[in-house]
Amino acid sequence: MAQTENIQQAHNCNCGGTGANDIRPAVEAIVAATGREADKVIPLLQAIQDSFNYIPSEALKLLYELTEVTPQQVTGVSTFYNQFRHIPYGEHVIKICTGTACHVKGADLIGDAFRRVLKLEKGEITTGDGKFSMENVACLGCCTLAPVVQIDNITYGHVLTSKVKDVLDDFLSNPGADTAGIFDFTPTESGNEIRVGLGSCCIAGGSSDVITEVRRVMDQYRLDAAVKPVGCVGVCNQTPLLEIAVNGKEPKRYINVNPREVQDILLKHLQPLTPLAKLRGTLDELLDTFRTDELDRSQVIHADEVREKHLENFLGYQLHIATEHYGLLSPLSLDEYRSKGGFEGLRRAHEKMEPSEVVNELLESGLRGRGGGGFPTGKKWEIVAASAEPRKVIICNGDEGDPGAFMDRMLLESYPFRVIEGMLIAARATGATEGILYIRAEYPLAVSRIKAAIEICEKEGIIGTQPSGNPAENENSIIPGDNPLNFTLRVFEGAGAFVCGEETALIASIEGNRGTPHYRPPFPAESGLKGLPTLVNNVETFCMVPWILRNGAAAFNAIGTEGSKGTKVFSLAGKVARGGLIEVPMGITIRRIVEEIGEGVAPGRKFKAVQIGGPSGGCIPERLADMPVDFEELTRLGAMMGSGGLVVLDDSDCMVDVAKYFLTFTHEQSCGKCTFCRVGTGEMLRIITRLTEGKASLEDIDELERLCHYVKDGSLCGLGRTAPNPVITTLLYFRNEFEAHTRGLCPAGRCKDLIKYTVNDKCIGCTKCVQVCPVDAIPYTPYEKHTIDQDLCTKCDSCREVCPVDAIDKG
Amino acid sequence: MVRIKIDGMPVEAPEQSRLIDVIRKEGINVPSLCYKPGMEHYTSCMVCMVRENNSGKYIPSCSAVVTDDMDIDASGPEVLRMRAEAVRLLLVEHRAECEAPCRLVCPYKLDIPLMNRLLTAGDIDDAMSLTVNTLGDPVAVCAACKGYCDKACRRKKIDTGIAIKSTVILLGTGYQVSGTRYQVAGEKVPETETGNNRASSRPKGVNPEPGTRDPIPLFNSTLGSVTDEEFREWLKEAATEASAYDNPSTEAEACEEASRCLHCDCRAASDCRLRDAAGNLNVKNPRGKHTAYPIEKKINTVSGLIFEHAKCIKCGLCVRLGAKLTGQPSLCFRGRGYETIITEPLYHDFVDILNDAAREFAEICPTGALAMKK
Repeated sequence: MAQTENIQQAHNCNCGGTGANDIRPAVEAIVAATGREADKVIPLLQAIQDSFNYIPSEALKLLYELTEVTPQQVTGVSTFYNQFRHIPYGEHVIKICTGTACHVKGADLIGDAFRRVLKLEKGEITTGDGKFSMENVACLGCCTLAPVVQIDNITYGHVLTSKVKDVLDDFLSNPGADTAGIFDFTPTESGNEIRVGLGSCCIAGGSSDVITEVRRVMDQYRLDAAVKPVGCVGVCNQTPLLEIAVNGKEPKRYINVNPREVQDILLKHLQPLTPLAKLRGTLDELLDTFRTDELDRSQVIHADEVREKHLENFLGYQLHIATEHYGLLSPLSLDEYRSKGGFEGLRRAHEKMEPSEVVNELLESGLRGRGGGGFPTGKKWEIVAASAEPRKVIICNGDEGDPGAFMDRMLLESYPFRVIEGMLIAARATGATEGILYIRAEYPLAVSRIKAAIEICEKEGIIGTQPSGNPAENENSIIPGDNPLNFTLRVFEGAGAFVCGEETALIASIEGNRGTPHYRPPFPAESGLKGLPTLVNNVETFCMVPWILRNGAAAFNAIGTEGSKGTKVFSLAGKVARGGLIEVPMGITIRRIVEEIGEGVAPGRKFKAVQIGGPSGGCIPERLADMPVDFEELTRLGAMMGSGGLVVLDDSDCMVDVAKYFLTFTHEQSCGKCTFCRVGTGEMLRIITRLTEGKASLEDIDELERLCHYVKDGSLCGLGRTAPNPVITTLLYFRNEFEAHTRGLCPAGRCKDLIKYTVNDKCIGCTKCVQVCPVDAIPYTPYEKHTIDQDLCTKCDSCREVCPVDAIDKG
Repeated sequence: MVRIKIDGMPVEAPEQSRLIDVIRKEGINVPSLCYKPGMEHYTSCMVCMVRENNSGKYIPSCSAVVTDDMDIDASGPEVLRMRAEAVRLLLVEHRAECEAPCRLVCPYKLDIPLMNRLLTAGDIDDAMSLTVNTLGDPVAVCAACKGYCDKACRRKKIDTGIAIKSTVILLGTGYQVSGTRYQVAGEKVPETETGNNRASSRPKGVNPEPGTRDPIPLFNSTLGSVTDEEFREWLKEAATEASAYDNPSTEAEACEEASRCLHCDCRAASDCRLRDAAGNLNVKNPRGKHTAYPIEKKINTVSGLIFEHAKCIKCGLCVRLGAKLTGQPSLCFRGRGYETIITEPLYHDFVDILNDAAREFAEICPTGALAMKK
């Protein structure tokens, strides 16, 4: 929820350095640029917060004065969404990701560690010197790098509790990530390309250093190739990714590339343009060896065969439809997109088919919504198309709120034109003339990519409301000799509320209201945004559409199972060796995904369960892992396909803790409108919390179950109706763990109140643990077996992390 | 016209009718809290649930529109359980008491806090009538009683309890002298011979007839322990400088003594839809309301409007009413989820809003969250 504590302080206080004189002209400019209408309240607040880093009270009061927005509306809206803050933050903002994958890898301990290092009391947000503010965020979408922390716009992955200070030091010595120019791409005549993955996760994994090094080597040796930043390959656990594509030869892919390896890799495949260049390059290098000590640049860490095997496993089972041409396309190159079949589907929809035939194509393909609901897409299009209302709207739902899911982020960042093409095909089928891409604010790269793609489409005359010049000259338009398609596209940035993934809540937020759902019927397809027929589809759904139009419904229908056709993109994360984004045909088994594509859990651990579908989904235990991925199958097992988050859990994960995690999320994200969700989830959470503290009884478990059924049946929207699912499935398949907690035991060794850290006989007395213990719970006894004072221990896990001989037991 | 079935009976209704209106027209009781005809429906309280038998789903009847072949179960045991659970969950949030302890322990259930309010306002005659209507012969009845009221008074925790018994006897004596009999404004208390107003024996599931009110309905919301901060909230309504009188001997002294009352009852006790629903659905007062928001009283000294967040069910009726009043700041939602509260807009003060429409707001509120001081 938005920060409203201390709001009275902000009311009277003059801090933040913003004088009242600065605020008025800035707000007036914002209103002039954004609009005065009541439904503009969210963009207005976002612009104000962008300017001042928070929403000053003077700015809010000016909104009452200068716009049609009422005080009630502003209050209700600005306190509903996570994004808005009414108190100023420090110079730098630290965001601790609390997504599912980060949670199972110990995000709460990371948060505690930051608090200790920054000396923040419980409830304090900003450090005394005003340098840092800290907040938890729902999910940054970098799950394979869990645990993830973002400071301003720099993402740090694989953060350890013992290394938190290093992260802060690194940031302070390097506060502005210089990303200028790394996204540039100019093709060369030879057609050779050096492709480096530059999705958000790739950058967090160090790819920007790799591409900078690539450019340096290119300059030094004048190699004949173009450096090309490409979108996501999906092999997120093995970034940085480098691929050399020499014209006429098979492209060669390298994983986990270290900048120091770049030169050798490049020189293996590419020749300097002229002998002189080669000589100069070699001389430079010789000089370097005199100037520096760095003699060994030639360590290629993994043997080629090993790299190949990992990639083969990961990519071998995949089938790329939404992610067609993964790793190949430069995201914002329209020419490249068109050269690979882009907009061909749209052309066919306009030149060779009537709108009703397009609808039929979707119906026959069997495509079902990929956002979680699984509603037949063709049917939705049919309902909207059937309306006699001339004005219709298409909304692309990019409010991917599931913690642990980042497929939509990847699709928006890497294939912006494909998303747009899908929407335009839907426009052809339904007769819509307006489109909105609703993208959550936590995905700034996705927002900027889509905005850039829209601009390109407008400039090139693909879409627009005005004909651009002589129609016959507009060779870029979809139908040569015709005007741009009558369609306007804009981006709406979500302000941070998971519930806005629900279509009626999403529409409410676009209309400038609190994101509370309303009862359906009427469905948005009949009466949605401003009462108009509104088609709401997920990003991934739209990404499937161009392929279907190009290859035909039958081709799509041939993939998958009886009830679930085509492919699905999953974000595989958690306790799995090779996490990442995968697109697999429906019907593939969970075991294949986890054990073959993901290469299983860490050595020494046992695969326990898979959490599928995020907070609306459920756990499938390992013994049922041979079940196929299919809408109905998963529902039958008590889980849900959901948007595609797949988090692998091993025997060190406590199922009660996992259920508590999801319930905490849904309770916090509940809009609060209906009784069952607002109060019911809270009551359930209370019971589960007491279970993790060892303070609950068997009757409490019965009460928990009872509440599950009422919340499921009585809630107004999907959030409430599916919030009990994680609890129901964990109770169904792991009831023994719940019962153990009533006896004060946590079999997985996770619940802090029920575990103890102790030193065993392997201890060699190296005192590493003493040095990292933040509360001095381990006395300094070199060369003697150490002990942990149980009264002081905060279970932060730092000692176990640094112990070189595995002498610390947790249990 | 649309043809549906309600509890097995075939019913015809005009298209686009609200399901709840159609069901109620057939004489079947469907409770509701957040729905008020004439206002946009909001689908919040979920107390109006019915079940649609074809799909097996529970639907909020205030928001559903009748469609052909609907088969509605409006009175079955599972439907009643669903409604009861909604009410129970609302009560879990409901940190308030319907009746003050003094009234509960009085064998005649005299509305002592109301008496105190009347005395504080100087309405001696009305206060007198209240005691006479309830007790018949206050002097005799109270003299014979052990005075449980004094023992139960919450004010004792702070300083001394209100001298209730003496006040009532004083009023009774005054009546004997003046011999008049009045009706207390607004409260039609049924006449009794001996004042035997025990808990109502009206059958469950039946609405009371409009215009009458049982003295103590079946349901009573209680708190367990009350924190010190919450006591301080109650003190807000009590006169700070009033002296305590162990045995008030004049009407003036009785009024001053009565002004020390904490008003720990609920002003909406006889007009609360949540209480009625709880009584009708046989809901027990949930234990352990410590997760609910603590007692807090916001008093608008200009209009006399009091807002108690702990009694709010977030039904939004006041917000929707406020949206109809253009041009003036009004109540709105703040926050999200469980932490949603109804409040004045940011950077406004509660004392500045709703000063000319306060009573309308108090009336539209289904519980005692919004009430008038008088």
